[in-house]
Amino acid sequence: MSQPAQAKVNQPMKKEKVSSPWRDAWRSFKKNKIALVGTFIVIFFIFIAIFAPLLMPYEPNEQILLDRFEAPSSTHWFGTDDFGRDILSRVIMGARISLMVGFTAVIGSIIVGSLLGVVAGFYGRWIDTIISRIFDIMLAFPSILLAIAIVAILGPDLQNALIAIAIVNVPLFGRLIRSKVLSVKEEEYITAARAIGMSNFRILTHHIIPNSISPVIVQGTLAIATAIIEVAALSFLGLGAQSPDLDWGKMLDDSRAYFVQAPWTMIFPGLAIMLTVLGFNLMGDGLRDAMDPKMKQ
Amino acid sequence: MSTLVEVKNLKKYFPITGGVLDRKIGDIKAVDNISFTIRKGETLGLVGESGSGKSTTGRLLLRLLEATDGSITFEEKEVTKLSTKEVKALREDMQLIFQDPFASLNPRHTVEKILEEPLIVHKKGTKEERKKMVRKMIEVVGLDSYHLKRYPHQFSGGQRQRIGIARALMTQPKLIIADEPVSALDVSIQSQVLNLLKDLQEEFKLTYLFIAHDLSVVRQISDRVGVMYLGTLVELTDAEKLYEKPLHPYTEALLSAVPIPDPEVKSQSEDVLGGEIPSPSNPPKGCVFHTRCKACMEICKKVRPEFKEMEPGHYVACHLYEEDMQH
Repeated sequence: MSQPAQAKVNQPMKKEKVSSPWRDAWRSFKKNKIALVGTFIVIFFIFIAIFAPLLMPYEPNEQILLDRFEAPSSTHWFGTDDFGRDILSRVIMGARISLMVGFTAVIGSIIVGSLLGVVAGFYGRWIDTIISRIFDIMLAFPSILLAIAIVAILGPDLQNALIAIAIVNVPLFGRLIRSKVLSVKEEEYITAARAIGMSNFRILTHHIIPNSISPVIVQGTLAIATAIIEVAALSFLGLGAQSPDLDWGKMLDDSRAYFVQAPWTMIFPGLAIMLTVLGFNLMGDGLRDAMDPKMKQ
Repeated sequence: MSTLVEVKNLKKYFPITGGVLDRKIGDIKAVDNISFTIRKGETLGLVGESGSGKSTTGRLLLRLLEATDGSITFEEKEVTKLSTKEVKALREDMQLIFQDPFASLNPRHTVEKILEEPLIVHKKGTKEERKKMVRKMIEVVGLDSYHLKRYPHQFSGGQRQRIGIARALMTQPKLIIADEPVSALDVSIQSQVLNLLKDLQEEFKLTYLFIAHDLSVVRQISDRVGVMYLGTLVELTDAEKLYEKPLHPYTEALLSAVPIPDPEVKSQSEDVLGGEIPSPSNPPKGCVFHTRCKACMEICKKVRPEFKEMEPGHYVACHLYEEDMQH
C-alpha cells in the first residue's frame, strides 16, 4: 500500500540527472566513432595479452627446424621464422610483453613526472627553476638517443629498456602537469580554498591535482603508443629484449636478414605494432576531444 | 558598538622587477597608508574605481596577502604577525565571498562537498552532523537540499553566488569580506542577493566589509562607507551623510556619475571626472587626486593631505577642509 506513495516521493530524486565532469566526458567520448574503434583495438590487444597462454597455438620458443620459413598456412596462420617457430604464437606472446612494458613505463613516468611537475608548479621559485631546467636538458636530447644512452649505462635487457623509456618520458608529463598546475593555482576556487583555511597539502590533493589530471590521462594514452614504438626500437637495435625473451621489436630484428625470402616474418609483428599504436592514438585523440573543456560547446 | 577590526597605516606595495637580473625597479602602491575601523555588527562599504586597492585591502585582512607595513587588529589579535596555525584559526572567524561565482567554485566538486569542506578543514562535527549542517545551510541561503548532489555548472549565476555565500557561512564566521559579491550578477538578481546578505546579517549577527564599485549597491547595504582612490582612503563616514553631503571632491564626482532613473532629471555632466586614474607605480606627488581635481590648489601638488576627522565620524583627506579649520 505504501509502496506507490513512496515511489512518487522518490521520483524527483531519480529524475535528477547528475552530470559530473567525468560523466560528461564519457558521454561525448561515446559519440566519437573513431575513438571507439581505437578503444576496441586497444581492448582487443589487452585481451590477447592477458589470455596469451590460452590463445597461443604453439610454444613461442618451440623450434621445429623442419618447418623453417613456412609461408602462412592453416597449420601456421602467420607462417614460421628461421628457427621454425610459429609467428602467430610469438606475436601473441609479444603483445603481452610490449603492452606490459608500454603500460609500466608510462605509469612510472606519470607518477614521477606528475610529482615533479606538481611540486615545480605549486611551489615555484628555485625548486621550479631546478626541476624545469632538468626537464629542458632531458628534452634537448632526441628521446631515442637518450634511451639508448641510459640502456648503455644500465646494460641491455628488457627491464632496463623499460626504465629508460620511463625516464625519457618523465619530462613530458612533468612539463604538462606543471603548466596545468600553474594555471589552476591561479583559479579563484584555489584562493577560496585558501580563504577557508585549507592546508597546502589538502589544496593540492583535493583541488589542484583533480583539476590538472585530465591532460595527463590523454597524454598518457598517447604516450603508451610512443612507448611501445620505443621499446620495439630498442629491441630492434638489440638493446631491449634478449633471447629467449621476445617482443615485437626483437622479432623484427631477428627476421631482418630474411625479409626478402620470408616477408611474413616481419609483416606480422610490424602490423601488430602498427595496429596497437593506431588504437592508442585514436583512443587518445578521442579522450582529448572529450576532456578538453575548450572543445565543449 | 565595539570595534571588531582596526586597521592602522596599512600598506601593500607590490615590487616591480625588471632588467636582466630581475632587480626591483619600483613599487606598485596598491594600498598606501590607510586606516579605518569596522565595528561589530555593521556593514562597512568600500568603494572606488578598479585599481584603487579595495580588493587588496580585503585580502590583506584575511592574510591572503602579506602587508608591507602597518597593523590589522582583529579581536585584539595582530593579524599581520600570526603564525600559520593562527592564520588558519583566523579564517574560521573571517570569510570571503567572491566576485565571480563561476570561478570561485571548484567545478569538480558537488555542492555538498563544497559546503562540507570548511567543516572538514576546521574539524567540526562528525560526518552526520556535518551533512546535517550542510543541508540546513543550503536552505538558509534559499536553495533546496536536492541541489546538493549537483555540480556548480548546473546552476545560474545567482544560485552559484548563494552557494558561495553558504560556503562562507559554514564555519559561523564573525566577519565576512564580500568582494564585489553582486557585480557579476544581473540587476534583478543583485537585489535578491543583497537582501539575502542583509537577512543573514541579522540572523547570524554578522559584520560585513562590503567591497564594490557600484555606489547604489553600496548605499543599499552599508552603514558606513569608505571611498578609496589610488590606494588611499579619501573619505569615510556614515552612508547617509556620504550620499547627502560628500566633502571630498572625488566623492562628489563619483556620486554625480551615478545614473538617475528619471528621464526628466538632467545629468550633472559638468561634474563627471576627466582623465584616467594615474598609475599606482608612479602616483602623483602631494594629494593623489590633484591631477583630476576641479578644486586643485598649489598645496595639493606638494603636500599629501592627512586623513582627519572633520566632523564626528566623518573622515576626509583633503586640503580644502584643512584650510577651513585653520581659519
